[in-house]
Amino acid sequence: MKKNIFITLLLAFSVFALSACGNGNTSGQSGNNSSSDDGTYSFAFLTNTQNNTFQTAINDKFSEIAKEKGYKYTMLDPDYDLNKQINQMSDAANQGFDAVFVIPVDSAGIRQGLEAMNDKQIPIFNVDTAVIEEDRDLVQSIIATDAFMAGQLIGQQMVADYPEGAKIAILDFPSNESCVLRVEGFLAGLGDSKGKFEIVAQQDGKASLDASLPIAEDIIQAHSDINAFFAINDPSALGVSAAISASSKTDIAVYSIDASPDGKSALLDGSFTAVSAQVPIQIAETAMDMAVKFLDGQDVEKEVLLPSHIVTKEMAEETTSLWQ
Amino acid sequence: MNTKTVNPVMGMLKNNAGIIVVLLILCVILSIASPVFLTTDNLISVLRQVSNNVFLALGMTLIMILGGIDLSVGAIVAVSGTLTVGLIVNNGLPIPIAILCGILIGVAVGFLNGLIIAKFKLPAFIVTLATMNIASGIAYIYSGGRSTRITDSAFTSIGTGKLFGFIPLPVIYMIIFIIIFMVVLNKTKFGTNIYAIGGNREAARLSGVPSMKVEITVYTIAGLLAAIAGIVLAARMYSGQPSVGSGYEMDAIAACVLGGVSMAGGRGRISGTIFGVLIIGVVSNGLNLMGVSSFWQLLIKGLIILIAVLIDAQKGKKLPFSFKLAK
Repeated sequence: MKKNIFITLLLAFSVFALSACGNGNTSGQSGNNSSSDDGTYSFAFLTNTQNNTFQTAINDKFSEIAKEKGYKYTMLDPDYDLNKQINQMSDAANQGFDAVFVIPVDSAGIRQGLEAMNDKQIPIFNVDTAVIEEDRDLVQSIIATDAFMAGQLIGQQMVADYPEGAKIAILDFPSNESCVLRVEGFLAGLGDSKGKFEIVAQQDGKASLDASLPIAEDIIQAHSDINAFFAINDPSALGVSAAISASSKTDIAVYSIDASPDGKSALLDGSFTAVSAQVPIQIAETAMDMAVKFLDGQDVEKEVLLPSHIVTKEMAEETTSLWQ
Repeated sequence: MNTKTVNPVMGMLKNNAGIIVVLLILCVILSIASPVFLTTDNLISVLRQVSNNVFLALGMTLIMILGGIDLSVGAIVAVSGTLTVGLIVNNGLPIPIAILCGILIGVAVGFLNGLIIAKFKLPAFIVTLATMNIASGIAYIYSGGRSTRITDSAFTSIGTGKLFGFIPLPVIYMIIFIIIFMVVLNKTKFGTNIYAIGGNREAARLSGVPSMKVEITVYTIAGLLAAIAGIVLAARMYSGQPSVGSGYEMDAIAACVLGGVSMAGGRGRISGTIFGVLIIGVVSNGLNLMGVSSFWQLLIKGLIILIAVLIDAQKGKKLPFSFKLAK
């Protein structure tokens, strides 16, 4: 019995080892061939996670463009583990990609990985979430949705919907820079009417549905006269709308940012009142375009903030199962 | 003479005196701090919120009495919910069949846990750590990391429906399961065997307790409960989300420990666990009502767990069941 298990384990390990060697060889080769002499570029996308349709939409677009143009393309997913991302960055640096796209797990935490890339002279295109100010000289360009604008548009929409003001709650996500900007933008969007809006609660919804649901339920309990919620992303806002339907209060409005496929269907069925867009597909297109231009020897901008927009029901209907 | 026939309710109160005191103190503080806390609406909302943890904690109680642990239940919540919703929305399967598949995957993971732990005598911590990753991996692979939205009320009413228009269905399921598990653990041979194995594995084996069978069954039951929790949660969230459930196993373990279940096995009660779940649920509800920031909530919850366990430890160690070696 014991012997059998031992043999099985041995077999399993050798298979793993072999396949690992296989991977090592192919990636090593792609590293060697990646110089632009042979006409094809190689890119790596170092994402922060693939657990979110936002990041998967970027990845899908990158790999679609790469396939179309015959570029080599790899995605590395650290699953929100900062240490893993830094390791992946130094591995990618050694593989000699022509350029990399990076969403930092933590804006302030990846300097070591950025330096590893710079040592090998690999240009870094920082997408979606920008690295901190001090590290910006290490990246070639930053390409992101204008998060402040996305928040501002929703703030302005709320003022338009409640000219007399309202009691509102905010579900934020303070550990993410982009989400902090969305809240700042939202408050700025309320503008001169700010005084008319009473923020009865502001809590960390952790940008996720299952964390936001009980928090929203409790806020509704504590403030039965609440008029509206602003949640910093669609999963969080979907948690709010689930809490509202559980509470049998139907007159509470939900404002969100993302316009993900789920968010669009919530907008269409009336669960969301208004949503402003994040633009992952445009981010991917712009980032890839800029990377290729840069490799072809052209100048590229240091920072590109892609404008957000309010997603109307008509727009949601047209692109219902897609990001923008 | 009739010292043996203690009123079961009194017995339960006496056994859980420490934790009940903690719960009452918390309720008094919270009802002073927030006028909303003691309203019927809010209390029902608390029960609905804790129902998810009750499902997991019931299974965890049996496992911990056995002397084991199960880290995979949170991941089972994710995989069962994701799979069930995905099968309905993407594959057009009839709802009952999709639910059955969701339950089966939980049962399968639980069975695998039990089989490996019992048959190969491996530490439950490591085995369930591995199956946690496997279950979570399946959820992500199946869904591609995407959440799937479902609005079919035939499904969502499982989690959002109400009996008599005001008691949420998850609360009803929760009560039914609590009763079943109290009976199973206290009144059946199977329950006695669980205590026996947890108390002294070798002695139990020698006295003819079918420990392998019991162990596999217990882990399978925990998998089943976690799968049910996942499906009910998916219905409440109107979506299957592969990323839910991380950390749920820790809340379940915390509830058991608060309720006096021994990490070393052999000791613990369903009633204790339920009070443990209530403490965790009431604290987070109350702090939300008061608008306390989630960063402070973490710190406060940690302190309350510590204090409650300390108070409970003052009762001294009483064994609910003393296993006698059969002659």
